[in-house]
Amino acid sequence: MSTKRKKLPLVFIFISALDIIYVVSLGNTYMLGDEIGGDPGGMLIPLTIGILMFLLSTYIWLTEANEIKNKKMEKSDKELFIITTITAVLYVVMQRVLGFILSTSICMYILFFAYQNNGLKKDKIGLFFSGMGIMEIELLIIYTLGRIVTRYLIIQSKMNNIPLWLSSSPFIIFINLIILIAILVLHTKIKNKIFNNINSDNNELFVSINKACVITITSITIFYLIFKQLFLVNVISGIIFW
Amino acid sequence: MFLEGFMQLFNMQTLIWMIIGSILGIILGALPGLTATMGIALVVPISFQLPAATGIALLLSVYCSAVSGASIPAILLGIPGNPNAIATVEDGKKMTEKGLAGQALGGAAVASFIGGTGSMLCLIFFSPLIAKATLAFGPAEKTTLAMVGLVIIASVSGKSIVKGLFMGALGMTLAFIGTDPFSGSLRIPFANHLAHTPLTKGLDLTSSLIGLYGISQVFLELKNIKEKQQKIPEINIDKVFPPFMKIIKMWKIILSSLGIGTIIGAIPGTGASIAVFLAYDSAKNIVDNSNTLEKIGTGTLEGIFAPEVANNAVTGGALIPALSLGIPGDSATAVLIGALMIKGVAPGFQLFQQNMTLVYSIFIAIFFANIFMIIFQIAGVRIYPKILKVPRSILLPLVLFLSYIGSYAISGQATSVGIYNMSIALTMGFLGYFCKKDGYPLAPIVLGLILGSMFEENFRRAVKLAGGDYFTFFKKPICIMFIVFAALSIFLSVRRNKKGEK
Repeated sequence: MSTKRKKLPLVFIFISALDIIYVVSLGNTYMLGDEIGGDPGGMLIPLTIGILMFLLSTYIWLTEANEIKNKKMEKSDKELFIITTITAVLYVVMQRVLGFILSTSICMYILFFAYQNNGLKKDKIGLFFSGMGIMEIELLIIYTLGRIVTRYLIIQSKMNNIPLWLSSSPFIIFINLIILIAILVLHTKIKNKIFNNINSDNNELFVSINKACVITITSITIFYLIFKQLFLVNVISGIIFW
Repeated sequence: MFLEGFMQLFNMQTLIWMIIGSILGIILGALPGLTATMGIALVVPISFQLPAATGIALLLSVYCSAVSGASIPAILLGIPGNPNAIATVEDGKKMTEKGLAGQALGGAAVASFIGGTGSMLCLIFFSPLIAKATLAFGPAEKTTLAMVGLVIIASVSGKSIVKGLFMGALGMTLAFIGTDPFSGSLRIPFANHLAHTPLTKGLDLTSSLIGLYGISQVFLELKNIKEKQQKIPEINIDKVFPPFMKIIKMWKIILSSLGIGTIIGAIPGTGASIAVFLAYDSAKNIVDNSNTLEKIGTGTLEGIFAPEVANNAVTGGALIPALSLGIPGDSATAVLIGALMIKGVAPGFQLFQQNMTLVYSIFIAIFFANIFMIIFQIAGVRIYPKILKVPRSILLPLVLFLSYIGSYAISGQATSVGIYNMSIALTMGFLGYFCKKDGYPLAPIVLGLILGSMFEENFRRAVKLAGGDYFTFFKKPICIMFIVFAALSIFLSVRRNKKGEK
């Protein structure tokens, strides 16, 4: 069995060295009003810990060998790892541009699809995008209807046209959930009609796309309702400005 | 004050959140690969939005239920939901094969309740006493206390003490990012460019915890995505409760497991996975010397009760040093301490002196959490096996995005802070993934993050008060005691590793 040194301790040695250089370059700082002395300064502890990290990571690097034969990632696992990494990074980057609803739905759908089908294969890409399109349309309908109803209830309640509890968070969440259920029921009815007419060879793929759509729509709506409606978190609107 | 503490919890909002927390905890504990620590980390952003007592009650509900919920797959599938239920597998699986799955699940719930409430009594008795002792602590004592906490958790939480110490040091280095606590000067790379970013306030603790325990777990579980779901057996619902007389007969096992769980839990860094084996072993000895108890390992309630009492007793035990000293007993309580600090609650004597109402709320919350845990675990006996069928391909994306949304939500209204928090969570997620994959324990890095600033601030204060004398730490009896503890912990860990190598 061939062995070689592990890479992670090497990365840690590099980080520790950078940390030491950085701490030294910052110089020492003292407590405000330390005229009589005694303060060991702000450099001592970070520098000591940096040196300790350097020594420990060097020790780990020197003493640990990697049995590469057992550690290699399978090809399909690697593909899922790369898809997850790219999606996870893209999600943070896209957040400000696309906003919460769009970026979360796109990324979540990609992962649901990829995990169920062991990656994103070229021959499935057409159906993948069709599913994504349907999911986005349904999600936008739920979001828009939810916004319209929420605004209407809040305005009417402020004008004293309706009782106050009709504009409370729990009631608004309830109404939004009703909208979600209604759209999902409609989705299921249409899906059943389509499924009766499709080729059975593609059945599994259709089931996975349908699952990805339904779970993405449901989870995003619930996340949105909990954080935005219940906890008033300022989620980013992005290009969905309404 | 007790009544005030009770009233803080006895309202509809808190009770509903506790019920949600209990159900969520059982589900998270039951799903193999998801841990109690991850569950708490994911719920921290929600608890952040709630009043202090409600938020903490929610976290405790998740904690207690997740530890107990791990027994469900251990009994039904022979796969522990997390390491806390490793010892439950043997007898649990055999009881299921005998057609006694319902009784095994019910027994596990009852045992968890006994363990949880029993250790809670120890927590109520000991934590105020220990907290009172910390009155004598000055900066020098606090410095050595932080050091001993870090060293103990580094030496016992992983297989290699060197890796544990490195992770503790790395956590401290990350804790130093931000602003110098005394001079106010910036300690961030590229300070000219990043001076107006949230990085000046340091790494966000919650986002770091979410990344370390939530996002990293998603990457780790990717390799198991193709695993086929196991067949879940039918459960006889008529026989959920274990016979009462049988429980009475097992009193010795219950007491010994309770003691083991509470003590092991109270030792920083040890955790339930050690306690369950010790309790299981001790129960074997008790059974060997008894004529009325059934042999452990053959599919008996004795083999379920011992580990299940112990793993839930760890919850109360781990909270003793956490509440009284601010030193967590395990990684789950490390996250709990982080959550308390986010809420502006500093564990230690000040908590007991200034906010006794909240302390009572915590005690009562643990009791309620255990009650909800037993209710929902028994009521859901028919439902939870179905949850085990949820594939990882559905779970993992949910965990990933809940982690992201949680770290964003902590920022409240500030979108730039939210995106910064998500970046922190992602970075820490990658760090956690590569570290876990290479056998680096994560608990020391969390403790380093929590205790890093406390260590540095108190160290500088202590040396300054001593007029620049670095030997001040060797002149105070409490400091010497802590230093001896730390040295002993390293020595024992090295010896244990050497024995293991042989």
